[in-house]
Amino acid sequence: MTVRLDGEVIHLEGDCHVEDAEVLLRRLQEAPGRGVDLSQCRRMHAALAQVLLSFRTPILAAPQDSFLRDRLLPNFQRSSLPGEGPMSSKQDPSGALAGSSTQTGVLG
Amino acid sequence: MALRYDPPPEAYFRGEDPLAIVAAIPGLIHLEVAADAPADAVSYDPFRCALKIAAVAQASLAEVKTATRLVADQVELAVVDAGPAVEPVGLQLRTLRVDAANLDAVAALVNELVIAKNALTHETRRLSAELEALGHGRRKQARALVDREAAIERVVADLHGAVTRLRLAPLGHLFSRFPRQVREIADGLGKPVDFQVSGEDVALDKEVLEGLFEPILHLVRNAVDHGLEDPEGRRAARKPQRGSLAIAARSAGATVTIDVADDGRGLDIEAIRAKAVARGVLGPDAAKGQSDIAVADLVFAPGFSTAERVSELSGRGVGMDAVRAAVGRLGGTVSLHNRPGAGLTVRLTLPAQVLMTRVLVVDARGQRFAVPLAEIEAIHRVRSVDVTAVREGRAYVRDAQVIPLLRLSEMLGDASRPDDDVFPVLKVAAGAEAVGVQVDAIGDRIEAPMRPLGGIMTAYPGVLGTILQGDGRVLLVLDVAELAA
Repeated sequence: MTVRLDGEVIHLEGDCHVEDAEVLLRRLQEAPGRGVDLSQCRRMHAALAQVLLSFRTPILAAPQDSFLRDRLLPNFQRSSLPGEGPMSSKQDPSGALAGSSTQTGVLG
Repeated sequence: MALRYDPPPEAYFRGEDPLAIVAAIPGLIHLEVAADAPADAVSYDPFRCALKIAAVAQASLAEVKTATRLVADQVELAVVDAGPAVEPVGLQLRTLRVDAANLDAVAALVNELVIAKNALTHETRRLSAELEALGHGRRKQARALVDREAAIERVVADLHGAVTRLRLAPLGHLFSRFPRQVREIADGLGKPVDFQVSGEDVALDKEVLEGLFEPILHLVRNAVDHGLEDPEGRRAARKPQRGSLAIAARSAGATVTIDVADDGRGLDIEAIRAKAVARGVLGPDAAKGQSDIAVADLVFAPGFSTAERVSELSGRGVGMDAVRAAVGRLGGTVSLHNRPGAGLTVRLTLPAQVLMTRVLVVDARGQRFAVPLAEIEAIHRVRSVDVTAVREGRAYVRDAQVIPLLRLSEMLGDASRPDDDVFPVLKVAAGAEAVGVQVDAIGDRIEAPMRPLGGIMTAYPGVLGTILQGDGRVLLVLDVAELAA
């Protein structure tokens, strides 16, 4: 199994092939905000990298492979700054900022 | 060589893997991969290639051509001067060196802006309430005012976020100071130690980064001094001769965790239990009833040190309580994972960015205080008739849980007065247990950057910092968990 869900963390493991992109996409769409653990990922097809980039998925653990870790990973980190992902704006039409903006109100 | 590679949308169907092709380029020193933002997240097609790739490689034209021969029509090549320091034109490798003081000035201005904005929020709400009261015709104006204010609020929050991100720095800077420290400590104690560091790339606010050196150094000292056994002890325990100590940072969403782990003897729970009783921290009965986790947590109690003797190294009057306090001031928490006989892991959990702190304003004995919303698990309304006396304390029952009840005013050293018939209670986690903190009234929730206490106030227990309220008044932000402990 190359795409494994554990709680709210998606693990990509071993050689991830093009067909895994769809599984990964589904896991991300089920619950936006899930992060991905790449520590066991040896190879990643471009299609998976594209999904991670497009949805600005937070990367929770870096892969061991030097190409993935040193060359590819920085691209995810550049794109995963919070607050402007297409996913979040899709899910929350009032703006992903609602969570970070001031919310005032008198309680009980 | 610099190259630009735009695979066509049908690349994946053709069986091409643009990443594999790029990975095969010799001497790759920089890679930029970008994906078009999906127009629509729901109908997103993962098999339609939307990647744009740019790369720099220290390789000859021929070598790069060989590696990309299968997709030659999709690749543009340009010769750039060799050398990793060169930033090829057009590849957008743009970084700027900025003096940290300038950054701090901008951050301070943004914080002022946030406070000014909070004042505006306050004023807007007052004004819109007045307009509403004037009647129907004014309601529209009131709403327009509130909408405009909300728009400003969003932009200010965005700006604050952007500036906060500017201040991130990788942990590598901090971590690089430890190998020498560990070597010196280990040599001084005659304990051979293998020291490992990971997660140097994880980024934290630079202010947080600077504040972490002391607490981590203390944990490292503790681990080598008290955690790791001496060579004979390790032989007897059938462990490798060299002790192992590791600092590992991981980024997990909005938080960063830093683990300081050793493979020493771990915490001796029974010794801590016995000591807690001897020092009167726990009664003998209470000590038996406490879980191991709750007992281990006692090492954070002020002045509580688990080592039998005060060694020269760690015994300098600062203990785990100082570590928890220091990390708490940075907005973080400290937790333990104890493996008796096999080692101890101390985990620092820190916010990746200095976030605006969301607090609840509460009233106790006519004074207003702020309590971080993150600390509050629930707000209960409790009737005084439902409060029962338990030994010398009081408690109430909610959701089949008996929750000890404390008055905030008494925790702050004030005398008590008769309770109202119904009063609000903040349920907070104090260590491993829940505690109810009784207040007189609950006010607004506000969000503002918290200022840490400076000077002599730093040592004031139970106070995390101050927050400026919209009306200009300063509120003390209380660490109710620490006050309740």
